[in-house]
Amino acid sequence: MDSQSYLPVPPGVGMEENFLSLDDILLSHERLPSRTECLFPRLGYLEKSTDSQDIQEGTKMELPLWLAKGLYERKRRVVSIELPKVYREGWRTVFNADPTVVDLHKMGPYYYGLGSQMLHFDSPENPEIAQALLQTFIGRFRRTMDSSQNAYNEDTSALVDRLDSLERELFKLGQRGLNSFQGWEKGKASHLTASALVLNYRKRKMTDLQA
Amino acid sequence: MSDALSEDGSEQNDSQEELMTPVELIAKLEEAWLNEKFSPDLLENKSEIVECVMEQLTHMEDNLQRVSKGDMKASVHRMEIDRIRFVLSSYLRSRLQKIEKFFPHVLEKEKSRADGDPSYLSPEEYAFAREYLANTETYLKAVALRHMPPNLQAVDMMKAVPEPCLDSFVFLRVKEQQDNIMVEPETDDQREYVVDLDVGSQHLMRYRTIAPLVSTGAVQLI
Repeated sequence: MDSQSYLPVPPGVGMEENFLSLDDILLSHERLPSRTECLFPRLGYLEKSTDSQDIQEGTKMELPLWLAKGLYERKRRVVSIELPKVYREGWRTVFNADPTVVDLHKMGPYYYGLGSQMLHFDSPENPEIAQALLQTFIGRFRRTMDSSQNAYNEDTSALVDRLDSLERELFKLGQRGLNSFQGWEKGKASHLTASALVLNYRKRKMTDLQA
Repeated sequence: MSDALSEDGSEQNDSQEELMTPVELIAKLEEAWLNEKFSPDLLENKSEIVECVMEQLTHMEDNLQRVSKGDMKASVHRMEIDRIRFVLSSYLRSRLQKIEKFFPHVLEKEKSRADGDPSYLSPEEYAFAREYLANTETYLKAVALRHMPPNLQAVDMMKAVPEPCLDSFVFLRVKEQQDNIMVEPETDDQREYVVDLDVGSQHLMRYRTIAPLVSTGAVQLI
């Protein structure tokens, strides 16, 4: 049972994004390499490399995900999105070989989330991307679960380093479960503690008084 | 279950037509509690059970006042009262949590149900959900939407708040024999197939497949 006093909105599952989820909002800031397919008149000031008034057709730019999703249309008149290199053929074979070795945090902290969002852009490799994401997750999950359930009261930064943010959430959940269970075994469950919300409120009031 | 105190409980409850012993009542409460805890969606409102249990609790407390102090049985009965009270409040708490999580969908479901169907929300829960919606909208407006350009100042709550995920897997135990339950394929290679559920067997399935069975009481979530 969650002992938090508020329920944050979780990130969306699969190809959806949750509107109010902070994780999804941060995810949508990731940049994607893309190519414009038509002229954007008078928006030249966004493109620092050229000095023209408009953005010409065929310019290569890096657009954030929220902009790319908004501008993308099936008939591809506006922008065309290229896959970032972590989702392409080369890296997919690496993941196939051994998913546990790769540092997913370096590949963009939202590897699974961004991968799921890439499926919106109708690339011909969509089924392979989806399969690769799934298999990578399945391959890495066992180690994450194992380490989260058996690392009690120690420094976990070495374990958490190479995980992407979805896996880190799972790791945190596992740790919370382990800590609550150990607390129950020690009899801490009957010990009343002040809620985190109350403590923070009291601290804030004290700093207000002192200021 | 307490024997000395249960005699008052087995009299006919006014709010129901049939006779129900306190044992059955508590068993039903526990069933409703477990179902509510493990289901991803808000289940039907069991206000009759809640009311009966409240009556029972007040009854038992009155009886305890009359019993002599220092009696060993009194402390055991008191523990039992505390346990029942915990189950009841845990049940109500998980319902409130689900209402807070899915408030626009819950209100939509309540609006669109036919007049004869049992309601999903008790009157108090309905008022709570309405207030929560109004408060969230006021908050978003005051904090952010006020400063946006005029044509972007509306937020569609139904799309903004995620829907309950009916495809989550749940453990269940079968109480009544069910035949011919259609199970959807998981991967592209499988086809949909049919399972028979035998009494007393336990399964792990998607919630969507067995949702109607939970509301009729044919399966119990564990």
